[in-house]
Amino acid sequence: MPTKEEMFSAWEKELPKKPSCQSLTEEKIRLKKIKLKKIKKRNALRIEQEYLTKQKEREQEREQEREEREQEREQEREEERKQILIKKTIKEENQMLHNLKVENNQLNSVVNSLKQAGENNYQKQQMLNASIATVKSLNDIDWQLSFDAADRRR
Amino acid sequence: MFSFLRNLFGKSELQSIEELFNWVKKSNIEEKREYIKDNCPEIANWLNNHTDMDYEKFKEIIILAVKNHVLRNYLIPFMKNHLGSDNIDEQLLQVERLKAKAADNIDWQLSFDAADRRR
Repeated sequence: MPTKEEMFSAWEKELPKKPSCQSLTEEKIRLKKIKLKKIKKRNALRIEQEYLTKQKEREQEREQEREEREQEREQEREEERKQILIKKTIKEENQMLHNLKVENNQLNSVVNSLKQAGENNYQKQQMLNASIATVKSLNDIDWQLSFDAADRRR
Repeated sequence: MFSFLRNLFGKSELQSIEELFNWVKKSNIEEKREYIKDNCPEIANWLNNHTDMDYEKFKEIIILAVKNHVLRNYLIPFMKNHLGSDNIDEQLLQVERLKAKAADNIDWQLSFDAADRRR
């Protein structure tokens, strides 16, 4: 992009050559000079205007690019937040599954201990039943012996 | 397991727990989810907040939650209740004492008879 000065100098080169002083009256020369000055001024203003317009356009482009980059970054951040949330959710789910598994193992272990205790009790109950039967037999024998002894004494 | 437990405890109320266990085995995931809604509000709420979960994980969590609830609230209390009430050790001790006493009685009777016969 050419600078303001460069554009101005390019425009000056394109201006018509000064007319010869001999063919013009002083007044004509003066008017011509004024006209030339006006043209120069108008052109300078136009160039200035064009320059400012282009600069504004460039700024707008840059602003647009900045906004696009910002949008991209925002999208990236949004995506990052989503990924973090997904990871966090998956972590929570895995943690819940893990906790339930641990609890299940503990409960199964309690059931197994109780089963073992129940089995021990069952064996003791068998022993108890056998002992009760023995006591009953011994009492029967005792009763029979005392009955026999009484019988003999009669 | 239940025939084993029935042998141990021989209690009729075990039947309802056994039926519950059979239901846990046979019921589908939706039925189990209903059970969770009715019995485990915290897990039901947690599941509502994790509706996008992987289905296999979702299934596993539901199955474990139901199993744990049944174990914790039905089977374990039942087993504890029936184990604690029997007090077999004390009964065994008492019967052993009775056995010793009955044996003593016989000894005494036999020695008495022998003396009687000698007279």
